[in-house]
Amino acid sequence: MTRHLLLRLVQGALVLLVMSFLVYALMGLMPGDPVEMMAAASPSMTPEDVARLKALYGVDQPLLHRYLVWLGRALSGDFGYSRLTALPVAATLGPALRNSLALMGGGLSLGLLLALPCGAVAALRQGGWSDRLLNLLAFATISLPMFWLGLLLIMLFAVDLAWLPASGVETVGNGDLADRLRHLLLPTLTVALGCFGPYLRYSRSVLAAALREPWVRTARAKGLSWRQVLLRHCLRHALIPLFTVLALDFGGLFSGVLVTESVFAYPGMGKLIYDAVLGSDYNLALAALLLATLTTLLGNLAADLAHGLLDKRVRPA
Amino acid sequence: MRRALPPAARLGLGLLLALLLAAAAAPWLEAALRVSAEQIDLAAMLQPPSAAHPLGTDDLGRDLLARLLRGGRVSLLVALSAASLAALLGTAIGLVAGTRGGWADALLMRLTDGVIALPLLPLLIVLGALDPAKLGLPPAWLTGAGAAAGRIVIIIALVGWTTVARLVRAAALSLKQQDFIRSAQALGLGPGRIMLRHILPNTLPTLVVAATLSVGNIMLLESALSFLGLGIQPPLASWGTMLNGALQQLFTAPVLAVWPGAMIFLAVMAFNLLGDGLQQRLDPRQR
Repeated sequence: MTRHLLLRLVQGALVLLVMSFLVYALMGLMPGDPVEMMAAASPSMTPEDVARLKALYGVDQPLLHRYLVWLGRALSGDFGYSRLTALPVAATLGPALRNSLALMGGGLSLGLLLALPCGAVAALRQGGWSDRLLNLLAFATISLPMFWLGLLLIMLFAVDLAWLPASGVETVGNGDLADRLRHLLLPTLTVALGCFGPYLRYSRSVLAAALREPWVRTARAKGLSWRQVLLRHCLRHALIPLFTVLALDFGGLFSGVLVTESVFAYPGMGKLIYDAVLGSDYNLALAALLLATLTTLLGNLAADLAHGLLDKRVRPA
Repeated sequence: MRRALPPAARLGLGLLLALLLAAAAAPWLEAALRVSAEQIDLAAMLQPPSAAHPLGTDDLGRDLLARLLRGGRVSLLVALSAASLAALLGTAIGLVAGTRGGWADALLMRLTDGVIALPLLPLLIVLGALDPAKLGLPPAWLTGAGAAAGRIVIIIALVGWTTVARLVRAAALSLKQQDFIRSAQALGLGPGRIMLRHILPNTLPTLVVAATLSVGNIMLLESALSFLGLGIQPPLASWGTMLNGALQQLFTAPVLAVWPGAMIFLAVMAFNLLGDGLQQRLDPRQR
C-alpha cells in the first residue's frame, strides 16, 4: 500500500511538473507582453526604460532559464503579483478556490442525491418503462450544454419569477448566510443537473451488477424483499465503485463548474482563470491553472486511496 | 446475425440526418424562404416570428432561422472534423501502444493518463487564447474566417483523443492474442503489416462507437468555448457563438438564447443516442 501510494505521488508530481513547464511555455505565446503594456500605459517611458524593465524582470532571458527561476520561487511559495488585482497571486487564489469547492461540493452532493435513488429504481426495474425513461433522462442531461441550462434557469427563476438572484455571491451590504445560500442555489442546481446523467448511469450499472451477485440470492432466499436487499446489501457494495468513478471524474466536474461560474458571474477558480487569461494576467493564470490541475490530481489520488481502504480485496500487498 | 438499431438510436440517426441535411441545404433553404443570415436590417430588430421571418429576428435584424441554419453548418462541421482528427490521433496512439507493447505502450499510456488527469476546459481556454503569430506560423494561415475554426478543430483534437486511444489499445491487446494474428506472424508478415492489415480493421467496431460517442462531447466543448468568446469568432458563428451574443440580450430578448442552445442539445443528443445504439449493436462487451 505504502509503495503504491508513493508511486502514485511521484507520478502525480511528475504530471504537475510537466504541466507547469507546458503552461509556462504556453503563457509566453499569449497575446501581449507585460512590459510593452506598461510602456503603452505611460507615455513617459523611454525605450531604455523598457529594456531596463525587461532585464529587471528577466524577460530577456531564454525560456528554460525563466522557467527555472519561476519554479524556484514557486516552490518557496512565491507566485508573484497578479496584474489585475495588484495582490499577491496566493491571496487571490484562496477565496476563489473556496468558492469553487463550495459549488463543487454542493453540486456533487445534490447530483448524487438525485441520481442514486433514480439509479436504484432503474436497476430494480431493468428493461421496464421506468428504466427506459430514466435512461432517456440521463441521456438528455448528458447532452445538455451546462451554460445553456444555467441561462434557462436564470431566465426562469431570476427574470420571469424573480425568486432568486441571477449572479454573484451576495447582495452588496447584506452578506449573511441566507443571502449567500440564495446566491448559491441556481449555480449548484446547474452543476447538480450536469452531473445527474453520468451519475445515474454509473449508479444503475453498479447496482445492477451488485444485484447479480450470489449473496443477493442468499439474502432473497432468507426472505428479504428486493427493497431491503438493495438498501441493506447492494448500496454498501455499490458505493465503492461509485465513489471511485466520482473521484476519477473530478476533472470533468471542474470543467462543468468553470462554465457554470462564468454564466452566473460567480467568483471561483473558473471565472478567475478565464479573467486572468483574457486580462493577460500571466502570473495569476499560470498559478490558477496549476492549482486546478493539482486539485484534479488530488481528486484522482483520493479515489485510488479510498478504493484501497474501502475494498480490502484490491489492496496491493 | 443482423439486428436493427434500437428505436432510440434510430430516432437519433433520423434527427442527425435531418440536421445534417438542413445544414447542407442552408443556402437553398434561405433562398426558398427569402431570408438571409447576413443581411442587417436595423428597422426590423428583435421582431417576433412572422411570415417574413419564421423565427423572428435578432438584435441586428438578421433572420433567426437563417442564422440557426448557418450556425449549424459551422457547429456540425467543426465537431465532425475535430472528432475525426481526434479519432485519427487516438487510433494511431492506441494501435501502436496495443500492438507494440513494452516501453512504447508504457510511455503512451502514461501520456494518456496524464492528459486525462488534466482539467480540460481551463486548458482549452488557454489554448484558445494563444496568439498563433507567436508560434511563427505564416500570417497567411491565420487570417480569414476559416482560420479560427481550424484552430478550434486542432486544439480540441489535441485534448480529445484519449478515450479512442484507450479503447483501441484494449481491442488491439485482445486481438493480438488470437490465432489468426499468430498465424500471420508464422507466415512471416512484418509487424507494420499485421498492425495495419489485420488488427486495425478488426478494431473498427470499437473505433466507430467511440468516435460517434465523442462527437457529442466535442460539440459541447466547442460550444462552451465559443460561448466564452474563445471559439468560433464573428462574422462566422456557431450555435455557441450565437449564445455568446444572446447573453448580452438575456433580459431584453431571452428567446435569442433559447434556440441555439436547443439546437446544440438536439444535435448532441442525436450523436449520443446513435453512439449508444451502435455500441449495443457492434460492441456489446463494452456495456
